[in-house]
Amino acid sequence: MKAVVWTKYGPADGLQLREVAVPNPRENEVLIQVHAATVSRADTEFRGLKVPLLFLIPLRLYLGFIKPIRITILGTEFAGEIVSAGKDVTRFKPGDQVFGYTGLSMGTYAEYLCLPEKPAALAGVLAEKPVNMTYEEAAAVPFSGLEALHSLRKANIQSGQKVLIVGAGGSIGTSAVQLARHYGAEVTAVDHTGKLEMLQSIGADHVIDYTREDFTKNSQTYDIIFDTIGKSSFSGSLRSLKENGTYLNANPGLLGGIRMRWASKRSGKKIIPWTAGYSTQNLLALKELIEARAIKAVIDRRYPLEQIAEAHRYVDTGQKRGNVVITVEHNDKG
Amino acid sequence: MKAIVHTIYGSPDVLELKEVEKPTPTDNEVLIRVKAVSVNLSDWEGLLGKPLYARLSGLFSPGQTILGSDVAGVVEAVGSHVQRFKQGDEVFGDLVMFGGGFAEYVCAPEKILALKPASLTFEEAAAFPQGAVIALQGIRDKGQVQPGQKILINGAGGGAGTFAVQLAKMYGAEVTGVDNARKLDMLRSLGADHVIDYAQVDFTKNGQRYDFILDLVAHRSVFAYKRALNANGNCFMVGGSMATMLQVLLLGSRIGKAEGKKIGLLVVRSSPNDLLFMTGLYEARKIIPVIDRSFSLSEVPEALRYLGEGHAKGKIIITVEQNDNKSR
Repeated sequence: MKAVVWTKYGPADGLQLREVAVPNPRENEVLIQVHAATVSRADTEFRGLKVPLLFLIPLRLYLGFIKPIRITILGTEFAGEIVSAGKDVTRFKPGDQVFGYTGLSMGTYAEYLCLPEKPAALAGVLAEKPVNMTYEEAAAVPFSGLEALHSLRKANIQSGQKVLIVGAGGSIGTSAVQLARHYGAEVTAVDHTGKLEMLQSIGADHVIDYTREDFTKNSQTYDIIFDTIGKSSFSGSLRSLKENGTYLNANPGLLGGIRMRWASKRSGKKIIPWTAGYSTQNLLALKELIEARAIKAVIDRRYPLEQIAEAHRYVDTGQKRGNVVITVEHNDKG
Repeated sequence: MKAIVHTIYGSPDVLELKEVEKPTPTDNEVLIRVKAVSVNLSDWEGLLGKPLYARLSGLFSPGQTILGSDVAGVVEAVGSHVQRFKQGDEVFGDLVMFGGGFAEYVCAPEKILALKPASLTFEEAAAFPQGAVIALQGIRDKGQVQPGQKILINGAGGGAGTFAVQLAKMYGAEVTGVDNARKLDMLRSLGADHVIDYAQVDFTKNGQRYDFILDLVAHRSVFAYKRALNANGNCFMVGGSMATMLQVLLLGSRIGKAEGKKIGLLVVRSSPNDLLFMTGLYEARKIIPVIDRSFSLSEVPEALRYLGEGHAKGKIIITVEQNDNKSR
C-alpha cells in the first residue's frame, strides 16, 4: 500500500511517499481502508518533536531515539471503510463506514490502518461515520470534536453563560465554538483577522482580533475561558474570569500545567489544564451531535496523500482555518 | 474551466476531464461556481443512453455533453432579467433538464434555483435536490401517505429512497425498504420497519401486500405490481426499464381499476419550494441526508461507476475545487 513514511524528526521534507506492507489485523482489530485523514497542529509538532520537555524523553523512547522507528506513519484522524475484522471483533463488519482517532498509535497517512475495536491504552477510538458527512468531513472532527466536547462538559457549560474561546479558528476551536453555541452559550471567539469572518459564519456571537485587542484588558468577564492552543496569558485570563468561572487549556505545556494546578488550589476559580475523553461513548455522542446539526466540519484545504509534505508546510504557517484534510484515492477500487 | 465531458453514450470510460469554455448566462440565467454536485441515477442513465428516455437530449449522441444536475454553489454572475439572486449568493437546485454540473461553472435558469440555507454545507445541500424532491412528490403528493399504512419503497437505499423512507416514517407509515444486502442495516437505522434483500426475496411474490409502493428502479411487469397492492392501493415509479414504463403508460390506469388499484409514473417537477421544504425538515431534525462518500471532479467516472453498480448508500457527492483556492 501507499503510505507517507516519517523518516526523521524535523522539517516536512522528511515525510516521504513509499510502498509499505498492508498491516494485518489482530484478533481484536479491524483493518480500515482510509479514505480521508487530516494534518493537525499536533501532527506537525510530533513531526519535529516540538513537544513539552516532560514528554521528550518518553516520546523518543516510544517512537525511536534518533529517528522514528517504532511509529513510522504519522496522522491521528481518519474516516474510511472496514475491509476485514479479526475473529474477536463484534461491533464492526466489512463495508461499515467509520471515523475515528488513532491517538499515539498514529498511522493515518496511509491507504490502510489497523485499530482495536475497543479503545486501547494508547487511546485509539472508532465509531460509525456520521451519515450526513463525507469521509473528508468526518475525518476532520474526531480529535477536535472529542476535545471540545469533553472540555465543555467538564466545565459544566450552561445555557446563557458567556464563553470565550482562544484559538477559535483552529481545529479544536471551530468545534468548541459550534458546541458552545449548541449548548446555548454566548460565544466570543478570539483569533487573528483572517479567521473572524469564518468564525461568525459558524455562529460566534462576538469576535476579537487578537492582533488589535487584548481580551484580558477590555473589562469583559466570562463564565468559561477555553484556550485551545495555549497562547493566552494565564494570569490575564484569570482576571477575565467571573467568580466561580472555569478556565480550560487544551495545550498548557509543562510549566503552565504545574502553575495552573497551583493556582486552582488558591482561587475559587476552577482550572482544568488538559482533558482527554477519547472513549467510544464520547465519539458516538459526537456522531449524534453532528447528525443533530450541532457541529459541522470546517475544512480549509484538501490535499492528496502524495502532497502531504506541502500540507504540513501550510499547517506550519499557523494560517489554517479549521482543518486541513488529506484525501486518499484507491486505484484498486471502482 | 474544467469539466467532465462525454460525446458518445457508453460506459464511464467515455468520460474525459477536459478544459472547456466557461458558459455565459442568458438573460434569465445565473452563472454558478460549483462547490459540490451530487450524482443521480439520471446521470448514470444519461451516460449510458439507457433506458431510451435518457436520450431525450440526443438520440444518437448526447446533446448534454456535461452531465451532473444536483448543484450547490456560489452565484458568479446573473443575466439582465434575473431578480431573485445576486453575485455571491449561495444557491442550489436540480438542473436535470440542463445538466452541466460536473464542471467548475454551470448556468441555470433562475426559476429552478433556491437560496441555500446558510446552515447547510455545500456537500449537504448538493445531497438534496433531485432525490429529496422525488421522495417528497412520491410520498406526500402521490402517496398521500397516512399513519398506519403499509408502504414499500423499492431502491430504498439510494439517493431518493433514503429520503423516502424517512418521510414515510415521519407520516406514520409502516415502511418496508427493498435494496441490496449491504444497505439493509442503514435502512433499519433510518427507521424502516422491514427490509428485503432483493437478491433473496421478490417483494411481488412473497404474499405481502401494500397500500402504496414507490419504485425508484422499476423493471417488473404491471401485473406483478398489481399483485403486491392492497385494494385501493397505488404504485408509482420513477425511472426504470423502458418496457415497464411503456406498460405502465398503456395499462397502468386500467389494469387494477376494478379493485381501485392504480399504477402510474411519477413525473417529477423541479420545485425550489419542495426543495426548501425538505431542507427545512433537515433543519428541524426530522430527516437527514445520507451521504455515502465524496469524490473529486476528476474522479466522476469512478463515482458514476460506484453508483451504477449499486454500491451507493444514499448520496454520492462530487466536491469541486476551483484552481483559485487550491494550494501552491
